[in-house]
Amino acid sequence: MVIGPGVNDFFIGVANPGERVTNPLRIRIMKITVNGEGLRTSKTTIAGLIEELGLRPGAVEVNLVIVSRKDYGTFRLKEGDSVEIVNFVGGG
Amino acid sequence: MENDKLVIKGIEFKSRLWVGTGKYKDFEETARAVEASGADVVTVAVRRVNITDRKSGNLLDYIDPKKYKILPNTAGCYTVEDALRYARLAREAGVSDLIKLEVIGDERTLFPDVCGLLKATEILAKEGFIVLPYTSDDPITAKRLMDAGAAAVMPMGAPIGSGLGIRNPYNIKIILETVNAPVIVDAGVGTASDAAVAMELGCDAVLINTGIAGAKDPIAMAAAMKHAVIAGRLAYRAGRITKKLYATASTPFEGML
Repeated sequence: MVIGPGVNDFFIGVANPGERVTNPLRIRIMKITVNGEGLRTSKTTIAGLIEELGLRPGAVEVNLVIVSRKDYGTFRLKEGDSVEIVNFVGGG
Repeated sequence: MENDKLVIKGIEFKSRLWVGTGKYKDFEETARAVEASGADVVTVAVRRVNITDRKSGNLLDYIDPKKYKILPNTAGCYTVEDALRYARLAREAGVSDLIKLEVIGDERTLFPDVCGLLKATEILAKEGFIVLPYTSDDPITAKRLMDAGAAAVMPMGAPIGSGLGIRNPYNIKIILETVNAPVIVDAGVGTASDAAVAMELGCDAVLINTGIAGAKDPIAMAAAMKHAVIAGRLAYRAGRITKKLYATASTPFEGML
């Protein structure tokens, strides 16, 4: 297995010794911010991200724009996105 | 005394006691206190979920939105922009257009910033929100909020969490005579008699959080508040006697020896 190069771009593929990777499975790792915390993820949709984090969000906002629940599966996340995942807590 | 239901924008409310869900020990205690209060409106706040602790529970697993009307607040918002942002997130997360709008002006008193509150009320009302603004006990502001599209007004009895009771009952009375809409006293109620005072003035409902959650026995206090609100409402509807300086005998003189 060959992994590399680059910090955010990982090429994963099978190669024989001395052979070039000819058909790599390319997985892009993005750096995004979720609830103020820097995070690296391979997930490209909100549905994927919240599943990865094991969350049940009340609402999701990406770069200050609310994403409707029905769009969680299709909304594409991109490098540098700032995601807010909120829910109801106790309050007066 | 039948058919004394509170209705706001077509929404019928079973109880005139509304309760908050902050400051409880845990969600179980919250649920028990809400149950004991008989309230059907429960306020909640919008906050970031903890992305590292997956086990942190969900309030709505304990407070069933099918059983209670969830009233999200914009607590902690000091600007119009923040209040709008939280209100919109709340509507996305919630099940209705109800919003308890707070635009706070000062950290120490948590008094509302009424200028910001007016702006935010106007914008959210236009977006179809049922805006219930937490406001000062100023009748002119209350009127302006109604003009801006509020569905009701929620004047403070006293600062949030202070337990000082209804500090200016005369202002609350003037607000009741000024606005042609429900008036819900929000904040300051410290014990059952405070809640009764608010209701005896003619207020349409009372919202209590700290007064219940902060009591030594929150479940017992929730029940006390429930009865106080019912008693206060009944007394208001019954019409109290006029206060007089001197005595009038209750027992007849006729037939005395």
